[in-house]
Amino acid sequence: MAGRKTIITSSHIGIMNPINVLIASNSLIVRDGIEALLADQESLVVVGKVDADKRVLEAVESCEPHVLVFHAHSLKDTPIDILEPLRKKQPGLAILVTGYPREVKENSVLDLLHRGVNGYVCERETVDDLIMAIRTVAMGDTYLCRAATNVVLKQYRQMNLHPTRSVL
Amino acid sequence: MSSIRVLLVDDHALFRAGISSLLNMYDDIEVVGEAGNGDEAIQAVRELNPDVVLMDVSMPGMNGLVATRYLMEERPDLRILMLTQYSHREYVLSLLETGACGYVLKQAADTDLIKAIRAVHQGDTYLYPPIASIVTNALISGKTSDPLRNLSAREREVLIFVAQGYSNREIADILHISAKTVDVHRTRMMNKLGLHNVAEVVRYAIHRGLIESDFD
Repeated sequence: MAGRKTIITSSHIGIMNPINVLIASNSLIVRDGIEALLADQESLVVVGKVDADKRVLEAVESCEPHVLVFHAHSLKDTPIDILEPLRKKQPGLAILVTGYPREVKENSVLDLLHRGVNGYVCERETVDDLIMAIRTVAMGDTYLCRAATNVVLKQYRQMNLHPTRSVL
Repeated sequence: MSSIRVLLVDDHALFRAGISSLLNMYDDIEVVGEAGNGDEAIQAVRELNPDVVLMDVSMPGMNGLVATRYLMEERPDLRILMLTQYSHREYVLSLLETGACGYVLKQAADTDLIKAIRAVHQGDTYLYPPIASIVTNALISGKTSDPLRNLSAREREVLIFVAQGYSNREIADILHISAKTVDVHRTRMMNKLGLHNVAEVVRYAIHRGLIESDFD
């Protein structure tokens, strides 16, 4: 990575109030790891940790997070079907899925978006990216890592919503 | 490692100077040229062969939408990153459909812009979060019966120019096609949208966010 000649400070998103984060993962190490990574972020507060299964629904009700970080190392082995009822029950909740890069496939990303997910971050992204993703979805925007962006844009173009060639 | 050769395209010279100054602070990025509108951009790409083009949308004469389409036809491998304050859904989708590989708003932080330049140069795409929201929503909502979707890229361009008050002759000069061809596109566009006069075209374009009163 090339160096930067001078330091430029800038604030991407200014949020005065802390963002409450609930971490869901079937891996205890991942749960504790993400909590540790977020520990020194003043604007982020981890309000709970839970297994990535139906217990998420209860945890969201009791912890009232702004953002759910839902770790799905393998989409096949994680009950992502709970995300759809969760979205219906908690329309204001921002859901950020983290997962293995190889899981970023066209069908899987689209499936997650259809289930109401607000963002996707690959495990190979940096801690700064994860923090940025949490802040972004908390503000109501969508955050997609590079791999997910590639997939989404490719799929959008394939939909051919707009004719791209002149007829003459 | 060779640096990323960037061409800046924006009609505001002061903005170009600021961005140029910012980008030149990074070891891996080199601003190789600047252009003030679409025509100049096409010429500059031919002469300077940049890796990445930072393209504004609204510029006098040939705008960023038209220039992007021309450049993608001439240089399909070129990486064009839109850098604009214009974030209306229809414009965003049209530009990305045309072939731009990234979209950053001018309100973004400098770190976002640098990240975007590096991403598109490496062959990835980059969407600033509010833009990502627009694209994902369009993707999820799927195909619609919206007649605007039925316009060709050229008809869409003509729609915007007509709404901005350009005559057929002026549009022909900008697009480098004949006035007669412009008239064909104009007629087809108005038929498809069910519009009958320029006033209706203007009203429609404003309503759909294709032009606005404080257009940048």
